[in-house]
Amino acid sequence: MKTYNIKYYLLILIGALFVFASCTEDFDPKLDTTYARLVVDGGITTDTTVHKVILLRSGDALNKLEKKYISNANVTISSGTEIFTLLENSSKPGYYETQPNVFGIPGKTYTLNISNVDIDEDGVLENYTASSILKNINPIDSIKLKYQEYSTRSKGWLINMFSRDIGGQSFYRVIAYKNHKLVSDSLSEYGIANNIGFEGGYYPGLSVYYLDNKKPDERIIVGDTITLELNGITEDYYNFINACIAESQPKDPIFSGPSANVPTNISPANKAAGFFSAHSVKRKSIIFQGIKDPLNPDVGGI
Amino acid sequence: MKGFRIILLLILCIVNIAQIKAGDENSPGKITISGYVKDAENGESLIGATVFIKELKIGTAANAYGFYSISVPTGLYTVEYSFIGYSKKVEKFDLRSNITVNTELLPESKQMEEVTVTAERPDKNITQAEMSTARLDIKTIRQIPALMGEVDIIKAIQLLPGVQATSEGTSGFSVRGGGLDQNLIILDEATVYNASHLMGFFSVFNNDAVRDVKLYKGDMPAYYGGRLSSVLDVRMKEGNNKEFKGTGGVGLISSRLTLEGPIGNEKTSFLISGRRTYADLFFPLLTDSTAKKTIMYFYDLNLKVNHQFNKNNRLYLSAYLGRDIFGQKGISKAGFGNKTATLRWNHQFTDKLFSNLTAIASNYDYSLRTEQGGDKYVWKSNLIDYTLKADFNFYPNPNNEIKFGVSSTFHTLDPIDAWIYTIDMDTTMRFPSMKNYELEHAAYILNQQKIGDKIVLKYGIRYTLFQNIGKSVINNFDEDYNYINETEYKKGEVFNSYTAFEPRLGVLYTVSNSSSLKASYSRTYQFLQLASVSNGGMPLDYWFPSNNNVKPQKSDQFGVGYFRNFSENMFETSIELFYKEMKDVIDFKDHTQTLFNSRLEGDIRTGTAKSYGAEFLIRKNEGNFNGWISYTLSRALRKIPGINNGKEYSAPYDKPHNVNIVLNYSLTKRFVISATWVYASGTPITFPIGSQVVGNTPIPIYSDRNEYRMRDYHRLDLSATLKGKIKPDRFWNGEWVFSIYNAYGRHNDWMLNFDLKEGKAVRTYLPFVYFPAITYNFNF
Repeated sequence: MKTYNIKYYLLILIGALFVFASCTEDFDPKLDTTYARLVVDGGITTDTTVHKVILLRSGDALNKLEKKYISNANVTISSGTEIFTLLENSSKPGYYETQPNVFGIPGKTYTLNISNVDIDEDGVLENYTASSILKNINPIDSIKLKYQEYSTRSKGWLINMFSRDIGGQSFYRVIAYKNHKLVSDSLSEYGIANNIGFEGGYYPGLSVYYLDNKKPDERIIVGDTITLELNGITEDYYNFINACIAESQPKDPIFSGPSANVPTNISPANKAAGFFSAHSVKRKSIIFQGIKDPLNPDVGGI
Repeated sequence: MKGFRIILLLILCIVNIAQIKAGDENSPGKITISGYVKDAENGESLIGATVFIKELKIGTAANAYGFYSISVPTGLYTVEYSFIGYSKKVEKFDLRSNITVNTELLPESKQMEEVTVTAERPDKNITQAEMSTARLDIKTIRQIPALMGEVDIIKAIQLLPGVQATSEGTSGFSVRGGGLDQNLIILDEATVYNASHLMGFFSVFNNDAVRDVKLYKGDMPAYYGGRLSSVLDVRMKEGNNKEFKGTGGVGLISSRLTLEGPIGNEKTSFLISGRRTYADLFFPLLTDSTAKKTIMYFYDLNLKVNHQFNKNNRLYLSAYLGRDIFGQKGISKAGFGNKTATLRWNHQFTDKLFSNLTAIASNYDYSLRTEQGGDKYVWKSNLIDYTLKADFNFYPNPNNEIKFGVSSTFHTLDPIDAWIYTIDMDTTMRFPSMKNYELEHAAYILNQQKIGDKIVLKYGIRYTLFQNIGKSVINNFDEDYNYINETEYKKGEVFNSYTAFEPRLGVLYTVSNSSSLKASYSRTYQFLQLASVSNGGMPLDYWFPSNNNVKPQKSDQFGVGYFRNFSENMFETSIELFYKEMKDVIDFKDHTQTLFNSRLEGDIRTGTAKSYGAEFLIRKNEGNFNGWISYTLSRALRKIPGINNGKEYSAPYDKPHNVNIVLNYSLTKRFVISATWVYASGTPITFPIGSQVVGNTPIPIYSDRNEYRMRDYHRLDLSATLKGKIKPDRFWNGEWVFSIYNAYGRHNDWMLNFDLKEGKAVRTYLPFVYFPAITYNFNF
């Protein structure tokens, strides 16, 4: 598994001088607008639970996260043998949900169908589809917490994972929970990795997630239950998350590539955005015992 | 290989002809006068010095080692040796047989910045067939106001028409819309793969150690190859062979010291030059505990020794070592830098045949180390070149000057050598090796031929054979760039080759004594490129070769120009038009991660690019008031399937309008003021035109690539130089340089960001506003 922790850390280290030394000021950009697109955010996993698909209409660039949910759509997910109908949550417009007994099966291809929507408001109803294969992965054998101090301002706990890679070409997403509450609550907090070069190998306590003490929801105390969730995802979803992370962060001329639209697997692609993902889920939990770094107990932690 | 043999055969023929002709000393009516032109004070070769036979109205220019040769009928002649900034020397010779004349010219004044001055002869822009080139002398470069007072030859180069900085304050440059990696930067013939320090804000060149700087923007001579856009040829000083001398300076962020002198006698001399920044020495004094632990500095070391065995043989050894160090004490350390070494043997076979045999080693590497929770992370990257080359200058008669040679380079590219040591299981996980080996062979021949009084033709060809050799693992992709599998090639196995013929043509038509018309055509290929997605480039970028998956990039460039001097060459003007068409140009698919990507070739997209434009220059080289004004009107466009929906888009360095004004005025002999004003169209940028919300995070929906522009860039820099009193035989000379960078405080866009959550746009500019600096320079 390839982790980017070290890379981002070192890039930040050597770039910090100029990024922090630079100055900023607001300006009026006079941005153009574009036509509306259907934005899809959701999918199906191997968990037996309610699976959600959120439908929104895209907006202007600087609309301050104004969400325009799409209601009254017909949404289904099919596995080739079964069709699951997603009903709109009566208290959450735009949220379409399966029954709670639904689960995805690794190896199957799931297809999302959306109809009865008129995004371009031309009076003609549109259909949208997307497909995703549900990739399997091996379970996590165990996890471990290790204290890490990047600087006096950035210290926290690394989650180290022990697991065997499933082999072949695999892509992973890593998220974390504290006391069963998701702490990876934004795209930029997702960890993604691929197994190129480590196909079928054993991940021997690899650092895959960092709980940052300065974030209240990630700061841990004795007795907290920390859960690591590993998702087996498709290469397309990996690329989608990678692009979303790049496009949701500030840019600079030294490290950033050119701005570009994030890819989508929703068809027709020129009228839609977002992603429908099918992925497997493996979790492992640990109760934080309050032990500082066992190799270096004098180092301050919490 | 056929082409290679043909060119080698041509070269062998010429060597034979040269030897036959050289042996024919008694051929009636033709004798040769040859030798070296040097600085009388320090023995430095004067590159480009002019040797002119007054009675015949013919002349030649000294080569990169100061050597000249000219053949004339027997007779009594007046020979003028001249060079800008030096007193002309006139000698009479009754030429009856071949003669060697080594000449030394005296500098016109002994100002400290003129210890070595190289510049064009006054009318060289009119009389020389080459175009799209610029040579800057150290004196001029030193007068240009500099960021933080750090005089920088690349920052000076950026003020020439057709050249642009890739980003505010950085030493990266784009020539005629080309990419950062399309510039061949060589220091004493060794390739410098990353010419920047401190995230690009300073270049690796210590001006105290530099003798000559020449930029080829097009019309590249056949002895250069391997890059599409330009060649920046930087030559180090040879070292004073007359007396021990020192030069140095104390600046805002760095200090430097250069020592040079003879070893034993005039036959051997040395130069050693060092520079180091010292901002890091003050970090422990800061109160912030993170800042206290910061490590951040760079240093350079230049070394050169040369020895003249006899009149026909001279040996040069030069070396460069530069490194940037970053990190935090006890947590991490990162370093990157270049190392080069060049061993050159100048041999004069005959009065008409001069040779230079060179062995070169060049290395760029970086390494980063850190620990996380007791686990060790190491990441190294390394590029090594070993080159052998032989270059010959043959002067068969006054109307022809033939240059030819061969070279062979062995590249070893190891972009990522990374591993993680996990303490829990005492296990090392190693990233797959991307190490690869290449051989790049080249042979070239070119002739500059004078036809009558009006026309000079320049024609040549370069042949390159580029080979990928094992041991190497190559990824295989399908037509849609999907990875299929990999193929491993055995050690020493040549598994892929590219051949390239690169014709170079030029013509000069002399309209009058003060004006000429020139035209040129050059084809160039590029076999190594930088894996970089950012505009400015960063030290962690690495080079990757053409191979089974990546075709070499190709460029065809056409140029025409009108050159006109006024007031007895006091004012130099030119208009150059160029058109450059490139094929198999490389870009990367959207959101490519170049680092830790062992399947990078699958993310490469290739297509075509073109750039065209007009460059206008007015330059005054002499007098108390000197400088230049340049204006460039140009476009640079790319069309690459898979990027921007296959539609044409502006190249990252497409800036249609660019004005540079550089003015120096000597108020007195001791006080000089200088000003630089730079204007450029805004950098192309992609703007968001909509937004989508994914996972509670707003993500932009963008316009076409580079459809918009940042605000226009402009900046005024000022400097004043106060020199010490000029007294004969004074041991110590000093000068103070006061400068202000961005004197009217323009907030130039460094980056524009859009905070979609907050609904606002934010401009980032660098804190180089009203930025003062003071530097003390000295020599003894």
